[in-house]
Amino acid sequence: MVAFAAFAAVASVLAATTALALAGRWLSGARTPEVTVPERLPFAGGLPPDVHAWNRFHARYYVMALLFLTFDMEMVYMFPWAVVFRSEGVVAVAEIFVFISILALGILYAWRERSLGWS
Amino acid sequence: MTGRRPPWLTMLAADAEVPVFVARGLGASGAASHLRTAPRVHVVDSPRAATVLVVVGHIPDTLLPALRQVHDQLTTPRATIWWTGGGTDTFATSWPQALVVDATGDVDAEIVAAHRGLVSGSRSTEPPLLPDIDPVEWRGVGPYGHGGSGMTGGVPFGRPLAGRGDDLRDGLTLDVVPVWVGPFFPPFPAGLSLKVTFAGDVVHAVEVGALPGAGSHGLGGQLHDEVDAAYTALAREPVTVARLELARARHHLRWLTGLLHLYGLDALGRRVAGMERSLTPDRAPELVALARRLDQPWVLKRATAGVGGIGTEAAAQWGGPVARAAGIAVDARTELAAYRALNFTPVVHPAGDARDRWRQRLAEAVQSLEIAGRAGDATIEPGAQTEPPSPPPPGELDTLLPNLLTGAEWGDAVASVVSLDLEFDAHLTRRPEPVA
Amino acid sequence: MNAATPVWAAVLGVGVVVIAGSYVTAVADRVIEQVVARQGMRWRSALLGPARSAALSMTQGRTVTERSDAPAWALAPALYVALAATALAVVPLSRTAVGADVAAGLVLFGAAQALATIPVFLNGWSSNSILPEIGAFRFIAQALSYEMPNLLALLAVSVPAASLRITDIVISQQHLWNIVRIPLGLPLFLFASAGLAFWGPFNFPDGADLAGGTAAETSGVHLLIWKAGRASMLVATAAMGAAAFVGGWLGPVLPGWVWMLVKTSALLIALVSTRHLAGRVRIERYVVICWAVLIPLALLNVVIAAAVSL
Repeated sequence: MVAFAAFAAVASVLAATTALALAGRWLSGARTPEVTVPERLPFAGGLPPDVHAWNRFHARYYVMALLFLTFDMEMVYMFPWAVVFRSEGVVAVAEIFVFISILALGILYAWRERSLGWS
Repeated sequence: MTGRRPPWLTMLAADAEVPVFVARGLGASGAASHLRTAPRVHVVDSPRAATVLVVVGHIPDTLLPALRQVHDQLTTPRATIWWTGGGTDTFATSWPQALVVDATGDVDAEIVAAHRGLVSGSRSTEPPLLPDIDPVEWRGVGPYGHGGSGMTGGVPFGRPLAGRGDDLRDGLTLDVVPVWVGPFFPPFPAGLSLKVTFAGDVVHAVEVGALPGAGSHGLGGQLHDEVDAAYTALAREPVTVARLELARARHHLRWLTGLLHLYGLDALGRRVAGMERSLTPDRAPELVALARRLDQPWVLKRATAGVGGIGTEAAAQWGGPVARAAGIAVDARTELAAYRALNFTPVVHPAGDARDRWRQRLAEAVQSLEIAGRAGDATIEPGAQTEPPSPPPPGELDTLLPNLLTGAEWGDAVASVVSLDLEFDAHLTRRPEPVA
Repeated sequence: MNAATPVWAAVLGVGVVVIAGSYVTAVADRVIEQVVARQGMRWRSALLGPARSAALSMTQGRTVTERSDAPAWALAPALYVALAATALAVVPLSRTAVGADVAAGLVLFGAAQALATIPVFLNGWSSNSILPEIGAFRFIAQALSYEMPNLLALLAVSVPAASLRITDIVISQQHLWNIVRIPLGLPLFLFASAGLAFWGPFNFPDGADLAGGTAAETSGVHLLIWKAGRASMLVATAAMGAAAFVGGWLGPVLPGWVWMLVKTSALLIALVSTRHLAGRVRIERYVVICWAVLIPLALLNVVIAAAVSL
């Protein structure tokens, strides 16, 4: 039951801090203040905007995001490896080395394809 | 909430550093660095975080609507202070709420007093200046404003959605967003407005807006201080080389404060601003040490190297430190006998990128201090054509800036513009008119 | 092994550390700024300044922009502080005092910091304003880049301990601190932590070239909580670095929690000072450095940790 209490503590910290921060915001004025249309305009130096800012933003790092997914899955496999490593011995070092090198080739490929920069 | 505020909260808030948004007009070169070193004042990047709007210098009529917009974008409670060099009587009709401070007044004290008044409630907040007019009454059908005719290609809530455009690099047809990055965008020089079309965070296209003309009608007067006066005085009377070169060094340090703030080095920027206010020729070694420090890879070197490169042909059109930073050794001071007697040779840097431009200006500041220390009583006769610290921008700015900025990532684009040190008022470019 | 901390004590303890830690971070920031600026030390301004600014924020109004996503915008700073507090909850203050002694505490810390991408993005996106939106998307690129060096550096310290529980990791350093036997770990972790809290040279979402970035349209209490969140994230990462690399509560003479506070403060000051000593780098270069330099170093670090703990 220690495990459950620990997770309950984590969840409570998360919930309590969020609630406290939202309460602080509410205390300072929850109702939408009476603002005119010019007061609402987004700031970009003083001139009104031409279009809404929400757009299909060209996130040029999308290839890097795919590479990140690969490495995140690698992390999922490495966490249990780290825990059992000491009881597995030298073989585990070799295995992880092979695993890591295969994935490092992915970075090399992305670097050569110039997908890590964008202008 | 205002009425029920506990008194200790009001006391604490009244003693806080006043968050101030600075709207620089023409003739305001020393204002920003003065406000950065003021102890009770904190210059912020956005009007939303500010309590007091400090307008400095002369604002032409063409920029007044944008200024009123910025004023309305300040968070309530707000106050306006206009730090002007003259023309204090025109405010009563055009901008009656502003607290006017002229060149002899203590702007720091006025800012703190206005802030205390707002916090304690003795000074009421300024109402918005622009009328509350909705651009288009289009509200949609659903609970989140969606649905209804005219959604695609229409004007929801007064504005269209961003249209599509081909990308420069990989040909994907995603949205491009045109934005007027306006005259009071803090890193930009006073009066520069660019219509930037963003494709993601890369500049897809740039259009330069109308620049403020010299001698245009407007509100407020220019704050001419010693740095401006040294060069404008050259039209009327003989000026010593030491005075001119000290003014040049101070101008470059004021510009450097802005560049350091752009890169987040606020503490170093404050140090440079303090140095500028008490600059004497014997402080040249400090500047050399500062230049060495700034050229470290983790400070400014890697961040500015290769950014905003200008080739030799384009640099020749820019003139001044921009050209000399691209390897063109042209300096009007070599024509003057007084400088030749002091063995003046222009400082040059090879690469023409943002890094060489700031290194160029810092090296010129060091050189100016050394000349000022050696010059003695050497004088320039009135009307002589000397090299101004920031020469007037080229007439082809409409093509030169887009060539420089298109395809650059936004951070690099802002750094490129800041590294050019553009000044638009003829007084500030300090080219003295020839004596009749 | 450890008796579970009661939930109320965990919440209270983490809350105290978050508030006190944010205040100490703000004071340290001001002090270091005054030292670097060389315009004279103003101690009252440094020590009381954060309180005064907080009081001022509470008197300012709330910003409303046209057609913004109000619920997401309201949630952003609150969630950011909450995730920093959650990350702090798994870090032990001493042998017995830990907010939540989760068996996979390292993974939970990694999860909290990964989720922190969301509130930063929302803070920039929700206001329907172009400059904050650019900051938000930049942060996604930054987050994807620092995530791997961060997790790999933390993974390396769990290898000698054969456990993901942070208490066990500290105990495994009884004879030798991890900074000695896994030397690359702490520099990698600090570099990635500065990116996580987008502090100083890695302040891409809130940079001055975006007029304040994701915080450009915020004011009042929203801005105050946002700044507190950034400070708390620095505290959380400094605490984790102290526990994982320099031995946490281990040390002679003084009680454990004093050592933990000393080590956390040292790392905190190191992190805070990067803001005034280093300029903001270019985002593309940051991405390339993280992927092409830091990840190979972090992988090498894991191999070193494996070799050392055989």
